[in-house]
Amino acid sequence: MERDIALMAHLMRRAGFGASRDELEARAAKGYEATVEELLDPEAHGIPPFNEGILYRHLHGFRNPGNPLHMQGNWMYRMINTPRPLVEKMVLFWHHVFATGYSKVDNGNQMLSQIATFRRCGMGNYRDILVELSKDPAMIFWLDNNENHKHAPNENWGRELLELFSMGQGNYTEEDVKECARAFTGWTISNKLPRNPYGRFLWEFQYRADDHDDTEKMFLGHRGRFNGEDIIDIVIRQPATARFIARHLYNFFVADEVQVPSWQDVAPRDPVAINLIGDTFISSGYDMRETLRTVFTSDFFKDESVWYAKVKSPAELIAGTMRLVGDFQYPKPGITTLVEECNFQGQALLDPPSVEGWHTGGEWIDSGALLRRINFAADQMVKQELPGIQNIIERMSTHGALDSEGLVDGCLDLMGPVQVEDETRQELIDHVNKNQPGNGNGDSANFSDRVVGAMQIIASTREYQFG
Amino acid sequence: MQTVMVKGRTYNYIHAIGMGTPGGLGFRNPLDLALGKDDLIYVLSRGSEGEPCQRVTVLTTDEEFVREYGGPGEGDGEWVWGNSIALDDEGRLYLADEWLHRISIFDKEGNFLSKWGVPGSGPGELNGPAGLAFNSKGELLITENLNHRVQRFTPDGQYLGSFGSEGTGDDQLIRPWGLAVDKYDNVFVADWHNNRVQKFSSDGQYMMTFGTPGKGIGELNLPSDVAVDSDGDVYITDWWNNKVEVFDGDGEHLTTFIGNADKPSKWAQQFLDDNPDYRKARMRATSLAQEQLFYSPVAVEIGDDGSIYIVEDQRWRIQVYRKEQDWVDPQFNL
Repeated sequence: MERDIALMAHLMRRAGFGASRDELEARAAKGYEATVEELLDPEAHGIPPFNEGILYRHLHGFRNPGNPLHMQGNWMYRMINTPRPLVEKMVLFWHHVFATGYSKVDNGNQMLSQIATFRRCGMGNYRDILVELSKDPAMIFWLDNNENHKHAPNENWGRELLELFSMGQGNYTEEDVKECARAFTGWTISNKLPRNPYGRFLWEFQYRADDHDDTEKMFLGHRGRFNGEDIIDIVIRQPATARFIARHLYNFFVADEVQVPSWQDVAPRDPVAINLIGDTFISSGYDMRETLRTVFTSDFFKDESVWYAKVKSPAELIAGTMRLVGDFQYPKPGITTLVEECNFQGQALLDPPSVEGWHTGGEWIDSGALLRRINFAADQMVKQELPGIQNIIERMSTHGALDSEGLVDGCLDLMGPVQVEDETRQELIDHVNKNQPGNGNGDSANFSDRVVGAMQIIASTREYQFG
Repeated sequence: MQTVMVKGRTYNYIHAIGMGTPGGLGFRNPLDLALGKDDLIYVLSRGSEGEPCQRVTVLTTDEEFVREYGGPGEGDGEWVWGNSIALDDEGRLYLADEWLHRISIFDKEGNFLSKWGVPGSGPGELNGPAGLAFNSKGELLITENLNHRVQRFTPDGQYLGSFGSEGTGDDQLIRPWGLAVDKYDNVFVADWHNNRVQKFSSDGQYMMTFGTPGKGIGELNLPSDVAVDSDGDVYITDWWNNKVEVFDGDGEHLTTFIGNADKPSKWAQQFLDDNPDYRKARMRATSLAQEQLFYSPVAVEIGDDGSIYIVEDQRWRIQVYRKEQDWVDPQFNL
């Protein structure tokens, strides 16, 4: 059972944003495979969608946000409260891959609309996702495809479609980029109403046949009068695309890889896994749900060597910690402080540093960010009024009198379980011995303080900060 | 269509009021309005986190700015989540703060007078006060979002009684929001999460239900507020469906408003005149149709002249319709 719980915790950290001990136990009782199926297709399993009405009834400014903090808060609240964690995790995945930024788009509702598209079709067919993305107004504006005209092509979207959204560098020529851009001429956005005096309005995709270059193109060895969807059909059939998506999935869900620009030079950490993921991607007809099923049910995913082999992104750390402690389970003032924290830790949601997205893994950590991450997580653990903390204290109290060793082991178990190396465990015990001595729980206030004290120091461990 | 004629009633769209501003001539996420004497309108702006836009704006129906007051905070005269307002016969304004679980009272000039409210779920305690309305006896009725009930108080906060409990049955409520009292002191409650409006007698006995759940005409999805006119017709802001449903007193569906703001309000036009970039962008827009429609109609009030004021919390304005009293059918072959 302990192994089942630990494996379930690993699954929920990767396929979601972590889970409370109660949820882990319920899922473990249901079984690993059954949980994977529920995560993959929550609608078919009767899992309701996130209740948007509750959010917007209380946080009205988050619905059509003019303030980027409200836009980011909208998404952060969903990460914390979604009943469909893998769907939301895939939204984050696609946002990492198709990085689009508020800094240029400057329309919070439009950014949220793109995110909603990922929520709606992010688990579906990759071809459909690319077609939706090509028509997404935020993306069109972000990569200047509204400036891509029949007689004056702009290559920005065409280049990134090949370089960052499908095949990766080294798998196409400059001529392919130009031909790709020509195929997407006329894919633009209609003129929208201005944001004042009545708030923001959404752009709408517009195909302008009169601005589309309908002449013959030569693209990746294929010749024809290609339009945008023809290009996508060719792109998704490229072996490089399957490999590129496989590496993205492995990097996001399994273990940290080198940064994306190095992928053409550095071999994958686990080539067999990449092949398996890529093969499923192709054999399923580019179906993301099938491909994810392969990831989560594979031995390479369950293997303990990849547990804690990923640095949590700031969004994962913050949303996961909130789920653990049970904060922001219902709308309340203060969620913008969470997204500011996320920004300070280096991940301004919906506003990545560039179209390349964030550099992940070890690059989330620098001396400043590390201190913030530790302080943030540790600060949450002392909030004894929160239901998640109360639950842990209550469970710990059933163990009877606890020495420092028991206290540390119990907290490690209930906070994840978090599996630490022997040396780390001993350091934790030594710390508790020094700072929270005592072995009785007769004094409940003292006992609670000891528990949260141990939780604080555990929150600062490498393993808690890793996923 | 600016005029709707249905079953002996004629509704005309009149004009829009207000625009979005963090302060001054406009509103920010307005959630409620109250109609005062001397042609005055009081509008409560909820604002949003980190933006000090919370306020009550007082203006005339033809958009002459009178004053604004209040602001974010927990001190006297401040609020965190202002949710609804109501005026008593003396023109004092009562404001419900659903985060601080209290009622604040202001005089005609906007000066803070007093506050009351104890958080909790017991009789006379408040948990998420959401809607306010006075009955003919001067008693203040309050819906509670998180206690799923309606309570009656004296204006100074003395508990008088309550009705409703959490559930989906007749006379039960889930997260009620706005409410209205008709001339017989019957109480109409927007039973938000049950997607309906319920009518109760003055002593809290269930009488009937308006609307059924859904997206279609006459159906409701998270209705936020209700008003009753002098003829007994019932107006419901169908918040999530972006429309307003109108029923007669027997619950028969009459018509649906979807928004008709074909011209900017006076303040909005003034803004556009002063900001040519915005005016040109608006002229360049592919269509103005989107601007006319309701976006999140959240509150509705009926004026003595039959005017119907509909507040949109996401378009930061009020659209005004009027039920004509002496309408003469035009010649149809004009």
